[in-house]
Amino acid sequence: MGPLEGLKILDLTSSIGGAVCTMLLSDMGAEVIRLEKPEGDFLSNYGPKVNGRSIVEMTLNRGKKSVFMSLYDEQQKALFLKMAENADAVIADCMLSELYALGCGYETLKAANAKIVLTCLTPFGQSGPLSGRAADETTLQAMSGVMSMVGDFGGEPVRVGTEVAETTGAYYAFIGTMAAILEAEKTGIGQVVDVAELDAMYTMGEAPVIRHDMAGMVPALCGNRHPSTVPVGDYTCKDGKQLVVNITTDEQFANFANATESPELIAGDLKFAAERVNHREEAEEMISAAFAKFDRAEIMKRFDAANLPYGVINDAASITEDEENRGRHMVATVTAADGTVLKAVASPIKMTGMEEKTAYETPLYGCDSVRIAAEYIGIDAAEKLYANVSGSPEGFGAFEVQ
Amino acid sequence: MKPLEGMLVLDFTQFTSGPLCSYLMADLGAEVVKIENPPYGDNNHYTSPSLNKNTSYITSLNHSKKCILMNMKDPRQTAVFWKMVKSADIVLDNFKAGTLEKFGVTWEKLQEVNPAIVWTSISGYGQTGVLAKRTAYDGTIHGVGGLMSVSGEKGGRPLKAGVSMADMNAGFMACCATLSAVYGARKTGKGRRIDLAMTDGTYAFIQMEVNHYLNTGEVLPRMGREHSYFAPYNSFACKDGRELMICTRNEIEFLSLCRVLGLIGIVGDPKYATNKARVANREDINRIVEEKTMEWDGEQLEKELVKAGVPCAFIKTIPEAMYSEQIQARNMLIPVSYDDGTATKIVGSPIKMSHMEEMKEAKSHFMGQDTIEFLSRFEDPALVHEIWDPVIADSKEKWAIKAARLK
Repeated sequence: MGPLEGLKILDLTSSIGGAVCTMLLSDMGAEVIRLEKPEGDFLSNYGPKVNGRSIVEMTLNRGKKSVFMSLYDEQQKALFLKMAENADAVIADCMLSELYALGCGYETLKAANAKIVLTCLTPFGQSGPLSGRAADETTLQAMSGVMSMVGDFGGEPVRVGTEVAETTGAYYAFIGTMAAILEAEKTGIGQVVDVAELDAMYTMGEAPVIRHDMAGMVPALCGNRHPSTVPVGDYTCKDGKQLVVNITTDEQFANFANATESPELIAGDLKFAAERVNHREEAEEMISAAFAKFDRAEIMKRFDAANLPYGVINDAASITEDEENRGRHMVATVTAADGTVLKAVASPIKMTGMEEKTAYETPLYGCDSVRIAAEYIGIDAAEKLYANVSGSPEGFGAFEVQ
Repeated sequence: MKPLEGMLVLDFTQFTSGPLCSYLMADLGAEVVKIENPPYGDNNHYTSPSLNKNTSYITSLNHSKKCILMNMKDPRQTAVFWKMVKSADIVLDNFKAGTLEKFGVTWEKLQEVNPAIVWTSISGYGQTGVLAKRTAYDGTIHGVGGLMSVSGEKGGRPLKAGVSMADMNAGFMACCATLSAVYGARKTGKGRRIDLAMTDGTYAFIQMEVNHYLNTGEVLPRMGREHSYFAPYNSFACKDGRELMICTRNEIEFLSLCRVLGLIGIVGDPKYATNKARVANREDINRIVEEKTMEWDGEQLEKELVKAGVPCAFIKTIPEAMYSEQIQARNMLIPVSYDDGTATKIVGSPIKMSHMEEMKEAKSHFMGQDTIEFLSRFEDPALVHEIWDPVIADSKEKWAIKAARLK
């Protein structure tokens, strides 16, 4: 049983960050009710589709329930406020003022339930010069300065090819929500949690930021090397295969020198970490030569014997194979009510008292609307409320048929 | 009042992933006690750059924490540890699997002393399995975990994500899991043992790219600044030589872009009518857009696109981001200081809460700085002095010698 069993979360989000945050809450055992617009939203139209529905949306919404909610509709809004009465948190990704304009602002929620936590995850937060500006994963990476650090020697910055700002924003929204819930357990009073994805991205740059302030260091594109440690990154072995290493301590470097039969590496000052950085070019040349002495399989054997960390560069396919081979239970099936079966990465958190879940359900548009509404307003009122509400995924912005 | 006030975290972690996990809690008011092994402690004490021998890594990753020295091989010292466990909510480590067990710290014993305690371990490959004893660092997990493979120039080689992202991701996930377990423990009186493998964590971090592969069989190619799913989505050159990232993801954003650039003429063209069509004609739409952006001054174009609701941004350097109006307004760059007057800046906390005073500055402590004071809460101060005075003195001396090489 997950540790958040018993927590009830109302999910008003339509962004990737919002979906990841509430997915994490669901993975930890909370009941997450996605309140979605029948006409579709950003997430429901994102990326490739299967049977007319976004793969991203279906996989990120695993484990959640779905209730149609148009807050413009007075009756549906009344239902939302009733649901808020016994919810622990509302997770949103809009401006507080938008909720207020709809008559669902924090003060209204608080009147319904003093303990309720309202978390808003947005690109730039509820205040500040950029608040309310349109943003995208990559524009956030660009603004944070982190994108300027991703690139090859002599090349140009490239984007990190995954959802860093959205995901780290989601983590902070999760942590803030849980902190507020823990406090509310003591005080009986909830609060607003404001998380900006750009602020989350700034945190990803914590190391170069302090290095700049302390020592004026400005990151230069360095491929897979590390500014403060040598050797770190990918090196080519005798058979042309790549090995990724991260040798930090002087003890490890000495082990490395022995493992590759390269006493010249520790004969002089290069045996000290600081000197390897100060004389980087010379160090890299000698280290590359050490790797070139043996085939990769041989180096891996020697590294194992010397207890030195190493890795290969996996892609989505090879890491899947690797995780499966090692029995990590990291691939789950996700089944939608219409029978569509997808696969998705499972939760990486192994915890005593909680099963390793590898089979999930994912909701179809509003499929839980009547059933859940009935818990609050009775079956007759629920059926009446949703009699004329139906959804289609083609609404917001996509205009395309797959 | 800070939300996690009263929470006690016994933190054995070092390097990046674990310390990040615990500083997230410290920033929210938890009492985080960094336990270091004398005489040398966390290896990050010896990695440049530094200010008065206080390294950037230690300063940033261990801010807002108390620091004590404890040799877990000495039964006199671990006797005090077990007293601390009685009052603690969380034990945190990122050692190789089995390390704490060697010192008698087992899950069974922890539960016996404090049934509600949560013990979280971050490791490279997990606490069990053939690779459990294999050391892992961000540099290697970056490769093994698939994170390196998603970034790079179009048709180019895999590139690291610039910072220790595999480490940081593990730290975030561990914090999420740990706080969840604490919530559960307060409800049920029963704690949890948490095992987070960085390989699993990184795999989950790139889940959208993996899910694409799992459901289509296609491994997404590296795209430079572009995105496999969308076009136009790239950096575009302007008249003044600046490059502006313009990222449209749907028809509304694309039409807004066309309006600003004066490209309404192509809207009816089937080659560009839908995102799907534009992706299929990527080279052409990129060329058409750039022909127009080249007529604009970069700042002007950004202003107009912002007004039109089109996501766009210049690629800032770290110094540009650090000295921006935005980071200041959000209190995301704050002063940090030590008792010896060392002062520098760190990134602040993104979690803004209506009942919590925003963190506008932070303190970092020296190795072992809080040993006597903190341990005196659990043991007779005279005994604490007797056991730890020599440990602290020896550690100071040895640290100074090793830290002499720091720049």
